[in-house]
Amino acid sequence: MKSGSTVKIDEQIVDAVKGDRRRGQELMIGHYGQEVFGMVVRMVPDVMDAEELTQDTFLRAFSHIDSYDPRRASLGTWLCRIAYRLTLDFLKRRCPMTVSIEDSEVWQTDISDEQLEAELSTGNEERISRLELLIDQLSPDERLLLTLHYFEDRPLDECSFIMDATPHALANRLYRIRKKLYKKLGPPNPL
Amino acid sequence: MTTHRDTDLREALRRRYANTPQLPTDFTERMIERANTKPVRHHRWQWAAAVAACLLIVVGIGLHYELNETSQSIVQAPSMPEVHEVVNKPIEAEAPQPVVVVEEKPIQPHRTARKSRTHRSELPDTLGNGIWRSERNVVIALQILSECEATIRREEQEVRNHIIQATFNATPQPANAVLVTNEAGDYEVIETKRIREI
Repeated sequence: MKSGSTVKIDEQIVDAVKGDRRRGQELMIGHYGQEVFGMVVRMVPDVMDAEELTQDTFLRAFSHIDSYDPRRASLGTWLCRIAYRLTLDFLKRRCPMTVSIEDSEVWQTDISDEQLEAELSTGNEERISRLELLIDQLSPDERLLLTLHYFEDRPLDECSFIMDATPHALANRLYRIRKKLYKKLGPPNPL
Repeated sequence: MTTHRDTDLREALRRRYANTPQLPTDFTERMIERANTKPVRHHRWQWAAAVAACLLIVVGIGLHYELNETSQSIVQAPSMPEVHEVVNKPIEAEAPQPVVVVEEKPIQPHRTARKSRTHRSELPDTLGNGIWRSERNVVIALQILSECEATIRREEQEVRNHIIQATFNATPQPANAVLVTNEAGDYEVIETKRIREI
């Protein structure tokens, strides 16, 4: 959620970009550069590509600063939305996304949301390490959703703005990803 | 929407992305430099001018070919008139007329040019070619045409006279037969008796 100070800083940055362009650009990059880069680098493993995409994101933001509506989202979220779209386009050009056959199997696993939550909250060190590896096997899109929601603690409303999907659709998707991870992880070993 | 605890997943994510690479220190400088480098943009009027120039070239080439084609069909070299039959008759005392018969045919290239033009004019001008033909061009074309006609007529007459002369020389003629030029400039074999009469 947007705090009062965030709104104020965003206003200052946007005004600066519209007015003294160079100063505004420096402010925006200084304030949101790492956030955008951090998001992109989680989808694109190559740092150089991520840096390039971050640059493209800011260039796009500078040229479309007039279309930014602070009532819809914070400046950081708006930048992340631009970065997400650019990164998706980049990934589509690089390697067209395919749907894994395993995805269809995931739905066959019958497990409730509560059960799933319990299975993914064991505190078992070995399971955490395995999960860490399994995260890399997810698609960039799935990885981003997980990190936005679980790592950056962004609410689904904000995630939906960034990823251009309804919160309900994202909740379903999240459930599916967790189920997929659980299936690959397997049930915890009884002690 | 409820937020799940999923502590294992959160911990795994925290560990996995704990060491997120940092932006290079000169990123802002490079970024600002790139942002303030004006890209080479072509204005609309430049595109319009380029398109207009291309159109002019195309129209120019089309007009050139059009004029070239017309003048070529008019100035084409005339072919020799066909001599269908040459009949040599000994000129007798009472023979009324000369011997050489050359069938006069309208000149071929001339007809071709006129025919093709007629044909074209009969076609509907769907492509709007008419706008490229000015009155001046038509006048010039008619001048060229009349000059060509005169030249062809003269050359035709020369050829015909050569044939008559050659026939006259090659064949035995009566003593009183002579070769003369009539008012039109054509050779004619007549008898001296007729001259007297004239």
